[in-house]
Amino acid sequence: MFRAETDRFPPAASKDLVTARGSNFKFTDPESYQGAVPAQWDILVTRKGDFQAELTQVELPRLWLQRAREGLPRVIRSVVSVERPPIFFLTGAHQPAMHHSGMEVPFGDLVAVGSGSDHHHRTEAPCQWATISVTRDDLAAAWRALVGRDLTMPSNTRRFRPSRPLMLRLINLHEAAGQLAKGTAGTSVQPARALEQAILHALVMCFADGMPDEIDSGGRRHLAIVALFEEMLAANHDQPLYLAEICTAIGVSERTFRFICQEHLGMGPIRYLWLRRMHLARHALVLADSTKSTVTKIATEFGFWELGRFSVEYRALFGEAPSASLRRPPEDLRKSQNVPIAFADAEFA
Amino acid sequence: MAGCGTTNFNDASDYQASIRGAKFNIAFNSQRAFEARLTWLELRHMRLLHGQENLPRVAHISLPLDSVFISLPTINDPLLIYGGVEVLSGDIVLHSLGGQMHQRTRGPSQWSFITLALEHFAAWGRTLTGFDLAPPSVTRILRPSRLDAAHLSRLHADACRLVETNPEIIAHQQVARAIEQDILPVLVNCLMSNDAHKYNASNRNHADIIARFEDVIAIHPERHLQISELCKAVDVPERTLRTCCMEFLGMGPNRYLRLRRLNMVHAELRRNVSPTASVEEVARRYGFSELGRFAAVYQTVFGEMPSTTLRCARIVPTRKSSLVSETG
Repeated sequence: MFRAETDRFPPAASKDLVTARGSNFKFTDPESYQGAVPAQWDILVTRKGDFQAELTQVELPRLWLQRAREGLPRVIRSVVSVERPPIFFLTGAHQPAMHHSGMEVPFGDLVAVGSGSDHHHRTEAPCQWATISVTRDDLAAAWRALVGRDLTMPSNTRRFRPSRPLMLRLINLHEAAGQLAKGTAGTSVQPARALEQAILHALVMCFADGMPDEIDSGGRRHLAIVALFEEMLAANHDQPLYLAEICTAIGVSERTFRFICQEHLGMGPIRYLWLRRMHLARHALVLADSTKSTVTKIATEFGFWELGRFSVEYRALFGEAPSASLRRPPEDLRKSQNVPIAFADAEFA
Repeated sequence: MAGCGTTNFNDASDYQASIRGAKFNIAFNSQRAFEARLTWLELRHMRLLHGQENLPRVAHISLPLDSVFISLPTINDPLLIYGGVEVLSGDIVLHSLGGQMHQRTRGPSQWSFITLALEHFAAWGRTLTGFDLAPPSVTRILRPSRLDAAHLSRLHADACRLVETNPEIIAHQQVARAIEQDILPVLVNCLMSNDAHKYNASNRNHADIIARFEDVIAIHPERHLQISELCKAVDVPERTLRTCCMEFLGMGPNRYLRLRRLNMVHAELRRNVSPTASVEEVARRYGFSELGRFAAVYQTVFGEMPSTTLRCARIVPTRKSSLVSETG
């Protein structure tokens, strides 16, 4: 859909660097939020309401950490880097499970995402999550040092369920790193390198302890279909698409495709494609020059031909009339009202 | 690019000639003036048709061999009678390929068709269901869920309303594509539903008789056929023929034949093809030999004398009324 720039994180820092860089932003607009995440990311908010998100990023010499809080359920499609496939988990103890490419991920589970693949992360409620990104080499080295064997991380996505104390330790250390970035760290400031070492250690112990849960072959077949679907979405990123066209292009029956969409996106394909078109229309409305374009022109461009219905549904989804979106200046989309609340560039050596 | 149009008619023969894709042969029986509106929308692989008429009538419809016709559910409108069976509100009719049928109405009516080329019907069926959707050899009446039926009717009605009120929007390529793609999954869902009414062996037997009956009439549309002659040609006893006609046409064979011929005379008088033609000459050509008796019957059916029809035609030569819009 809307393409985020990739790898906006600074180039991999030298391992001798003993500083931590951090940032913390709040967002009220999904697109700005999407743009701030240093990965290829498309976010689609799936319920109406005011969007709010907070994103904290911490860069340690070997680890890149991200933490986020999101106020509305959404589906995110991400393309995972080959070099640094992320590891993620939920950080809010009482939140409902999220779904990663159709696999349920409750609080307490740890997912090592397969490299170089497309994934859908879906939440059904407000969500708090965290990721750790580490190079394969660094992870392998830490594994060797701690477990005493060579690590062979499979390329498939795996889910781990470590014992509660190990997982809680990892979650707490991640939170401590997040506090550093917010500049609100308490008295027990640990040196960056020590914190990094502790997180890496906790991570390896979680991997060693948790029983890996691979996505099964049926799941992999479904993933292949999802990948084709995603290719099609990417190739038509600003164009409307429809169910029958997609089924024809991918060569999958509607029944199978509907099942896969439920599994990966948490909704049927027709609803997903409709939501996608609504967001495309919104994007175009805000970007358009209100003196030169009309709501009708833009709505029909995205296949909304029942115009009265479009207005009603648009207002229900985005909380404003399409004409109000059209009148908004394009800067609203780029800058939005996102105000950085803290930016810490601290040295902890 | 979509083509579309909507036209008002006050002449039944113009109206039936304008229904493209299928051959309609309408006979109506009312003293009121005929009024109808036809709206059509040609999408990439799909065609929508909507007719509104003010009079009760019976139409003999012949469908083509290369397109699949689907009659849409009526939700609030009076019921249509297809092949002697009243199609209940919310039911859809999947017509057999190249089939013939009688569509009968009891008053002002509306009907809607979706037409798909056979190859696209098969391809989309395969895509959306995973197996081949074949048009049935015998017409089927299906009962979709209330939700699907209402959704399909709404999409069809909204699209036709757009043709009538805002045809410029239809001309937009993305709109034509969206209408088709919005309708497709709902349509296929509806087609996957169960039969609401199974035409049984007796229905099918009667349908065959009526089809043969129509074939015989088609050979000599203008002749006054004796009932004995008819029964011999159709190869059924008179009693059976009468039963079938009552069931499918809502009237006996004689009355139906006479009505058909009267409608043809009416159409010709209105069209006023040859300026020298007299009422007597036209009536005779359609098998009405007793002019006085003919004029009386004509007046009961159409509410005016045949000479009045002819006179009006000479004053107002064109019968096709206001062309509301035509694009594409």
